Amino acid sequence: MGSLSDVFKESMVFNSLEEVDLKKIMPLFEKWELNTGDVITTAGDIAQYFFLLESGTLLLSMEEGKSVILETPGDFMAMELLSKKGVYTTTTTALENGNVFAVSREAFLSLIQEDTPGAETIMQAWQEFCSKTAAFAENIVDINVPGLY
Amino acid sequence: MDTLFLEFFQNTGFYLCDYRNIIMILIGIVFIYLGIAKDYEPLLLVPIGFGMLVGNIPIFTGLGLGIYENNSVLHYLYFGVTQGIYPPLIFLGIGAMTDFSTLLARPVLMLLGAAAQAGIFITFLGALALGFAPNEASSIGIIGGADGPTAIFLTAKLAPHLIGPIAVAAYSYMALVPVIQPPIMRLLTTRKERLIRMEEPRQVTKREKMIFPIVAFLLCCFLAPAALPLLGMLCFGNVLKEAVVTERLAVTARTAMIDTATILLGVTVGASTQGDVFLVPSSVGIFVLGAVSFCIATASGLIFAKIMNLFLKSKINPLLGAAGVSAVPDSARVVQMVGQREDPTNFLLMHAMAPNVSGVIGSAIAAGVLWSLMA
Amino acid sequence: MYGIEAINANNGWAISVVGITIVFTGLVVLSFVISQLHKVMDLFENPRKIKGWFIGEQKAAEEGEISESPPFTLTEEQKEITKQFALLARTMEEHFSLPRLLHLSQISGVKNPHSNLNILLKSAIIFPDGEGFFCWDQNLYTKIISQ
Repeated sequence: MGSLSDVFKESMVFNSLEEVDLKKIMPLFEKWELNTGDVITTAGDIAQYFFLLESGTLLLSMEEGKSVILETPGDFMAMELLSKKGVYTTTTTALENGNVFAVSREAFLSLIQEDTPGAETIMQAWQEFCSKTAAFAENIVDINVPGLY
Repeated sequence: MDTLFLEFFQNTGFYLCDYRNIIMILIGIVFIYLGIAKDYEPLLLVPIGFGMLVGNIPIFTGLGLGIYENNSVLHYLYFGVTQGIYPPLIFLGIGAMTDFSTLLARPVLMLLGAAAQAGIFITFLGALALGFAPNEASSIGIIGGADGPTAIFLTAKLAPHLIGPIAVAAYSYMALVPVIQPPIMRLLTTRKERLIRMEEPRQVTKREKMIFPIVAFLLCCFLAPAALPLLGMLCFGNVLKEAVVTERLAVTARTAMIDTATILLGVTVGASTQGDVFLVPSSVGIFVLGAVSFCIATASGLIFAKIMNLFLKSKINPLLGAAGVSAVPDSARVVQMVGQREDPTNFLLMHAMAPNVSGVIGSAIAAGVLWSLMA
Repeated sequence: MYGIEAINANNGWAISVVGITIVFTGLVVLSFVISQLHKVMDLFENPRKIKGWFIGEQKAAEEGEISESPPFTLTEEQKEITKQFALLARTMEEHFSLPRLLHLSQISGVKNPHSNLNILLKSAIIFPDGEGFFCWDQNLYTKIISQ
């Protein structure tokens, strides 16, 4: 999991987490290999996984033709699994070979729902990431407080 | 009581009906049918067609119902036509939805838009020869510009009494572009010419597109100031579109505003075709001359394209000349259709949009010139 | 009054000639001006060229080479595919949808659409507008293609 800890260091969401929190969540992630053209999330499907990019380039297609490119290690996608509807709002396509770390919805929710500073940090960082990477898509994901999910 | 019933009956449409109203109502129904069932310019033909129904309900004067009665609602709405208010608003919308890229990529195609305006002036001569007054002849000639708002604008300024027949003729021929143009196109071009492939146009930068409407406006309006109301709004609309920061205004201009103006213009123009006013001998002359004007405009564009080919190193497909009449984008679509009939892999649509939009500019200048010469 | 007599009496010939001449003049002048517009724009964007008129083109070019970083290099095959993408992008809005471009490239039979689109992104020929859409950098495209 050496590479995962490197990705955590790069990630806006996870780099501020305490070492103890990181160690707790690392086992939840599994590494997926992506080939060019692979579609890992499809808009409208039930959101099963949350992803953290290790390498490669991903095209996130949103509604109304909008899209965003993720290519920096530590970028993440599919926070829709926290939304009320729990369905993906973006279609994610790999534009080149690469790797992502995936964490299942149940595992991630159990992590977030804990009333810990770590969970709060992750949620705050997600909002910051959204406004920086895709400010135009602020309202695309209807985030709910995890407790109400 | 009998007298009351009789009086009421005498005020009903059944009693007041004239055969001319019936004819116009039937024409209105045909317009609505063509618009809805055949998809011929539905956004224009449906409002005009329904306007014809409205205008030909037999009424007795004095109630303030007819479009020609000073105190009627229709009369107030018609004010926008007679004073030339709606056409510039429509041009604003057209400007906000037109992409001049193809024109900027190959400016020489603009000459085809100029050549097609010959139809206006040749028909002007024809109308004079048939005994129309010069101001009426100008309004009839402009039908060849294949631009409804321009035709209405000029007629409102020069011959307001002819607005009904001229508007109906102009929009009818615009709707019939797919029927009128192809035979002329095939007659005046050889198969070899129709197969000519156009060079790939260069990419146009955002900055060029931004500067174009300002340059075009200044140049054309300094040359023909009377084109100001139409060209001014066309270019302003395009500035709104290209500026990006004014996107909200551009969206309003190309949606709500142009739609509102088109509805009001269509319905009132249709309503102005009251049988007794419309079905007169001069209307027949206008329709015949309008058709001639349209055919000459198409032929002029085609012939000029062939002449240009004598001098150009990189030949142009002469079919593009037919798009010089400004019925946007129908005549460009017809060019594509006729071209593809010969070679399904030849895409002329994008190239045809250049003479097509320059035709809009050309007919607006022609209208301005005629207005200033006749005023 | 009818026929030629009516035309003569109303000065019809002169009006027609003047009218068509003005329309032609207007559009010819406009056509000429806009045909030169991109050259003026080019000078505006590359003031180095103006400098070149005064200090010699070669020297100016050398200065330019120093100041500009070398653009992305493409193989001949990639250049051909890039041209196909350029044609597709031309049919779209200036600020276009990237998924739509990818879709168009797929249905048009462009070879390896995903990876070639990625190359265009990496080379910055296609760049994000910050609003969820993407733009085509024509100058960079021309520069890279002409290498």
